[in-house]
Amino acid sequence: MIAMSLQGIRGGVGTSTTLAALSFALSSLGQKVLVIDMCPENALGLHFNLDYAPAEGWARATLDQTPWYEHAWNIESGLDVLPYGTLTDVDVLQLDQLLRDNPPLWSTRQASLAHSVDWVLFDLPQRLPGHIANPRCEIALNVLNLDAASHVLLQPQRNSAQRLLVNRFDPASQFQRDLLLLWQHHYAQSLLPIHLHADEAMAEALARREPVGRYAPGSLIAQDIISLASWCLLRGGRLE
Amino acid sequence: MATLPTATQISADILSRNERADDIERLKSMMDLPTLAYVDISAQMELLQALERWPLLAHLEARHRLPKPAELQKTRVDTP
Repeated sequence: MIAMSLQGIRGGVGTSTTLAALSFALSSLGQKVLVIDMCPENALGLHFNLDYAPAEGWARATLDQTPWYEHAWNIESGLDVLPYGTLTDVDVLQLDQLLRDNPPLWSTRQASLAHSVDWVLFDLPQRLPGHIANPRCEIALNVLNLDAASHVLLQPQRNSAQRLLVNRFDPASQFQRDLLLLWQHHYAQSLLPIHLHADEAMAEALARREPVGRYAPGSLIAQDIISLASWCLLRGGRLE
Repeated sequence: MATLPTATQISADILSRNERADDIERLKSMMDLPTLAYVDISAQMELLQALERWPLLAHLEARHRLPKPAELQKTRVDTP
């Protein structure tokens, strides 16, 4: 089993949409995939036609000390989604403290999943250190857009274990081409060889409550996502 | 058509696969200059122009003292 995380360098770069699309692509390539929403916004399920902000999820269950795995939803054969669950702001901070105090919590859970799924994908939040650090992931992707704001946030000492995944690439944009050249120069080892193109189909997919591979399988972005899934399989095979 | 022998024959066996596929590596090997640093001048010109076009990029390059694109200034061709 390969554990993988996606985290946006900031909100709004398309992390959850990418994760939903990637999980669907891996599943369509014959992999058994579990997607876990680590974000208190609790909205990942919308990409899979689930309810907005379901009350039950792993976070609620962890605080209540009830079985966390009972709240996963089967989307289709080989693709399951585990929501976060509804928590108050105070509960979220309490859970983050709990996760910081129990570093092996998720790795123990991951070990228990090893024989039932091929991939576990974590959708990580921005600023909850316990939530971010607790899962142990072989592949960690940092999602960015080729814009000035992403570039500014990329400047301080970055976590070099994370690979950089460019989303919403528009090759017609002079600035995006320039910035990509600069990133290729500075972050040659971290930058993924696959860039996800800007494509209206990606935005429409969430509006349709479907992963993009199901909503628009012939779109450019769906092809990009298949390429990304293939890269993951290659990396995963090498790591396993 | 017969293939003309080159002045320096390089056995493909003694070069790694990358070196065989890489014209620059091949040239360095032929000229017996294995340590010669290859500088992609056109890419560096593009990078320099990018920094000139977008002040924020230039500002952050200087601010965070990231390793500068190697020898940028030397490869710059000043027009008269």
